[in-house]
Amino acid sequence: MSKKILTVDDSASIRQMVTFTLKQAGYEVVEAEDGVQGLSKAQAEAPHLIITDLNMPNMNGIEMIKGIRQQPQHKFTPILMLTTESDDSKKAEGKQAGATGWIVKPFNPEQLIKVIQKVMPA
Amino acid sequence: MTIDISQFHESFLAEASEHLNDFESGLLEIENSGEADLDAIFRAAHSIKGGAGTFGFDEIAEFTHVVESVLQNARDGLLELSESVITELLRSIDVLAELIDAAKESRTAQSQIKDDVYQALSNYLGGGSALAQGQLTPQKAKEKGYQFYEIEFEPFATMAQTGNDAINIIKELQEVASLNVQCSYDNVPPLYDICEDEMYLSFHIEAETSASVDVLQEAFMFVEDEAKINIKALACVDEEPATGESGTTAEKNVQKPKPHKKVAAKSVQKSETSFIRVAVDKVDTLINMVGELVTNNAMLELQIKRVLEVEESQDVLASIDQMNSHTRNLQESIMAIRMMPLEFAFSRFPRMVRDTAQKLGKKIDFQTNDGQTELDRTVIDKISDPLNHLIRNAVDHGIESAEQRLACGKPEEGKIELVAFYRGGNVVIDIIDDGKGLDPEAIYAKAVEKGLVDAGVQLPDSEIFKFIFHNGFSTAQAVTDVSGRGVGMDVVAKNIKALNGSIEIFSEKGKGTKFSVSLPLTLAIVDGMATKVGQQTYIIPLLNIIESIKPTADKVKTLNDNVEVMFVRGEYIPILRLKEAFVTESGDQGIEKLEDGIAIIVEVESVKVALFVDELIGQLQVVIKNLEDNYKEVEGLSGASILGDGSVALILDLQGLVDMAQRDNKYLLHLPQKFNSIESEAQHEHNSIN
Repeated sequence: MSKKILTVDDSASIRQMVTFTLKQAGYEVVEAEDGVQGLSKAQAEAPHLIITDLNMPNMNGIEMIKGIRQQPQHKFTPILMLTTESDDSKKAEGKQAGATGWIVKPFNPEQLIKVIQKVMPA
Repeated sequence: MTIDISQFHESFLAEASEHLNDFESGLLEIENSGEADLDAIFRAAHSIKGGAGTFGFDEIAEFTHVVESVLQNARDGLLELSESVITELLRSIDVLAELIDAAKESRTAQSQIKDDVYQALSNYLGGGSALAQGQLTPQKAKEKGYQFYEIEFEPFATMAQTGNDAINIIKELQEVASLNVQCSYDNVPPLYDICEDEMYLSFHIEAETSASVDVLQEAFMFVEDEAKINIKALACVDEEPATGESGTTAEKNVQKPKPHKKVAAKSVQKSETSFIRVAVDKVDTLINMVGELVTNNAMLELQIKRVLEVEESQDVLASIDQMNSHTRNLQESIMAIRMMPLEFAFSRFPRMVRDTAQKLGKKIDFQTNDGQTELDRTVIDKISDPLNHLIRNAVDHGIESAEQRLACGKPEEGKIELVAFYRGGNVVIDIIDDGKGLDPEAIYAKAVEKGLVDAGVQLPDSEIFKFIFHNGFSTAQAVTDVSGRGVGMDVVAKNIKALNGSIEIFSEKGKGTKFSVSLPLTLAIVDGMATKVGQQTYIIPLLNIIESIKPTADKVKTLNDNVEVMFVRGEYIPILRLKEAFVTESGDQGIEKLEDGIAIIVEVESVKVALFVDELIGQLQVVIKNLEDNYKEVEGLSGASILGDGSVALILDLQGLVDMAQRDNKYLLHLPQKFNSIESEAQHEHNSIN
């Protein structure tokens, strides 16, 4: 069974690109547009891994990560945040909230897959 | 794995433009109210940068980076958003807009101010605190030879709580090195103290690899703060590949408590709005097709009524009725696809008002309220320019200078409102200013001077104001570079008319002016009454029709040579014979005697006219095809439509028709008030269609 990944991003183009890349790599993908949606999809869809942007309307990535970690099924689920290199404080804040790791923007499809395999080996 | 990401470019660029709009409106809000969602603005810039970098638009990414840095400093309180900073940021939006446009059109961007703005923004960063942290430098540094490393890896108890798994890290190391892993369970507590989400094991790892220490460190990058990590280089093995015996991989049994998997109920289906982007021409094709379908439907109904006897036709007509309602629903749904919030048109104005007001040294409070109205995309595209002109005029001519305002006891800051709302099948857009208002006397004098009206003719103010829509009509004292050349208002009126819309002016000297623009929701389809004159079918827009009356001899009076009026419910309404308004190929056919035909009373902008035709055919919906595409523009006609039987029906532009009549008969149409003072100059200029 292929692993399911939830991608949360308010930018449709980034979502499209992530989804496309992940599907090419054989993952099943679920999309959400903001933290609120991400939180409910994490609950309902039981993804094996979650990729999220941090700057989002409604609920930002940090709040969403905290919320997801509260869900018993996601206590250990790898959660990757999309950040920029200049965002060192964001990284720390994200880790504090329970994020597993980060993917530095801008990224290309190969880098994305590499980081996913890092926290969720096939 | 290689993936072509260029397929997402279009989507990204469209998105970037939207972000840019948010960025701009956010900035203007800061300037107006002094407070705004800096986060939202930052997010907009951030998203543009992130996407641009990802999709390979380096120029955009690089430029946005400095913009983002300035915003970041502002958000962190390191930089005050003074007017000059905001001005530079606004200019940066212009630069970005050009960069994005250039990318959309796959050309090289041409922005004169780009370097300028970039420099200015960089200066605000004071040597560039945020800017200095550049992009990720690619890792390479492969070293020759094999090296032994000793790695101490002691995860903190909490490491697993961020979803990091020690085994994954070891597996990653294994990909680049031969490992010898020893697991220490010294810290494992007694069984009853074990907590499922805590980590108790630690590892001693011997690695043999040709990779650099950086590569090994990379495996630990997510857990640097969640474990004690110590990587130590041991002896060097020169150029020699690892031999089988020394490089054995021995993995100790590393166990980690696994959480119980719970199966989440997946049955919950969330309702949500999601979007797809569709090319406009696809939607246009659909709209055209459904329009034809509607017309065919209407004609089918007509034909059946003509061919079948009443009793026979009942069942067929019932089915057709049903089909009609389905078709209408289909049409409405498809039209809704092309509807866009008026906000799209409105969003560009605050910036324009700000810049114009700044240039003129005026203080203006500009408020918009789109009333959540939506208009057909084609209408939105065409209304922006006229609105732009009207608002610019309000800023330049409407609002007085601060001194003048104070002198007449008004607040120093002028106010301009842009308000939209639904009224009937129309969207009304009001542009209201509290400026000096229009001066009817000055306009009247100018109109006389230009020969648009004879001196001494009495006109209500509302009629006088309409003169400003004439070509070359400006009462502005001085021509500024903002406005005042007298070109424009005529174009505004023409553009609005081309949209089947209308514009009205309400103004009080000293108090202010309101331009009220009324627009139909869509351009593509009109509900009309089909009528016949001779061989020709004319469609009269249903919205304007008040009633249809058979003229009788005692109700009709003829004034002077050629002006006929009809007495209807206490009013004299001028009669306009359609056969005289247009000359058609088939000649001057049509019923001559008023008693034999029918008069349709229509109202346009509070002017009533009785259109005289031979007969009524029936009500139908037609798709408007414009005449310019296939023939040429004809005054008094807004377009044509092809009927189910293949013949061409002409759609009347009532405003144009009334204008024609007014020109020929001079204010005849204000008959009720000025019944006695009519002096007709009968000059019939027949418009002809050949």
